[in-house]
Amino acid sequence: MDSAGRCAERDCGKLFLGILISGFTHELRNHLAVIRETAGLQQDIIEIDKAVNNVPAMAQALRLIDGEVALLSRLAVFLSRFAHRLESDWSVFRIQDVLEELIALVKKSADEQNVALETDFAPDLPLVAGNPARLQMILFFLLDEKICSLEQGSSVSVRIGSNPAGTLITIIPRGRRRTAAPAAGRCPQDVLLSAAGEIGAEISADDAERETSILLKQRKHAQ
Amino acid sequence: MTHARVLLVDDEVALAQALVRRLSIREYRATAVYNAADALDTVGRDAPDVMVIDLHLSGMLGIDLVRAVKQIDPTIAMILLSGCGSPKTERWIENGDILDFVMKPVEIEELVQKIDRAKKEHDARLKMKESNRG
Repeated sequence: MDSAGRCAERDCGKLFLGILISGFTHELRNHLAVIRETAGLQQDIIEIDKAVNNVPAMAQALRLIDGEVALLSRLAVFLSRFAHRLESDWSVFRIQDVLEELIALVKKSADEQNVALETDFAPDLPLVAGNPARLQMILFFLLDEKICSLEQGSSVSVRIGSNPAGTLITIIPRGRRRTAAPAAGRCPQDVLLSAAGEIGAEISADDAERETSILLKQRKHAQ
Repeated sequence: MTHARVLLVDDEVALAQALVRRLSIREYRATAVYNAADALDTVGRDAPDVMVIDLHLSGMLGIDLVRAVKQIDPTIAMILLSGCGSPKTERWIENGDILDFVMKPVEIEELVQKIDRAKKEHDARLKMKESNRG
């Protein structure tokens, strides 16, 4: 990779981090908002409405808060795991965790565009060894490009399987392409191809089906 | 001043319902809908004085809903609600697209103050509309 390529990848990396932080914190704030309003409502009922005898409604509010705290904890775990993986140039990790976290990250944007996200992960996938930071960035931009290119009511499916060559991730858009969809995603294709090459991954696109596959070649790693 | 009739638009159902109850306890005539299509339908049938609209709605950005509502009834005063700030917010206020902006999690007293201000703005717009007609 030449210096211009390295610069372009660095720019995409910064953009990715910005989207990652703003996306996760946005979701965290949304859950905090539900907790705050639910708790605030109970306070209003007690202090203003003086209606303290509706025990079932209060129990329901507590269950709602408990559920929101569980969702918040899940998102915090996702963000923590995802960010820790970005710290290292090489590690051994579960690819299904990466995709699960990425899908949580892009869900709000997919919901806004009314694009459904589906997953199909094979059981017993092998651990992946490599550069998780680069891989997470590549997968994010490929997924983001598919979501942004589709009309409302479409879907994007993410499949993970394994074969003797390695682990294969396939991103499959289903539905009509938006007429105003940009020709390229937020990170140029050549930057993604070059970054994939650096980590020994292969990106292949099937233009007819509009699906994109990423092959993570099998490497020896300590279990 | 009578309390405002408020329509809250947020796809986060639990949040919208809790806010409606909190406003109702404070004697506002508040209702909620959970998507842009229902919001436009409600505005067409029974326009509120003030709308509080989430910036990130499923299927439509809150600011696009603001502009669609303005086409139907320009007297409705609108406040955007969001879990994140937007660099565009100040411009939307300057352009008169929205009257104000509230961040989530909401400070209920801040929201109430902004709704009261929005109600005054709505009443002034309505008066001007009627005097222009007369």
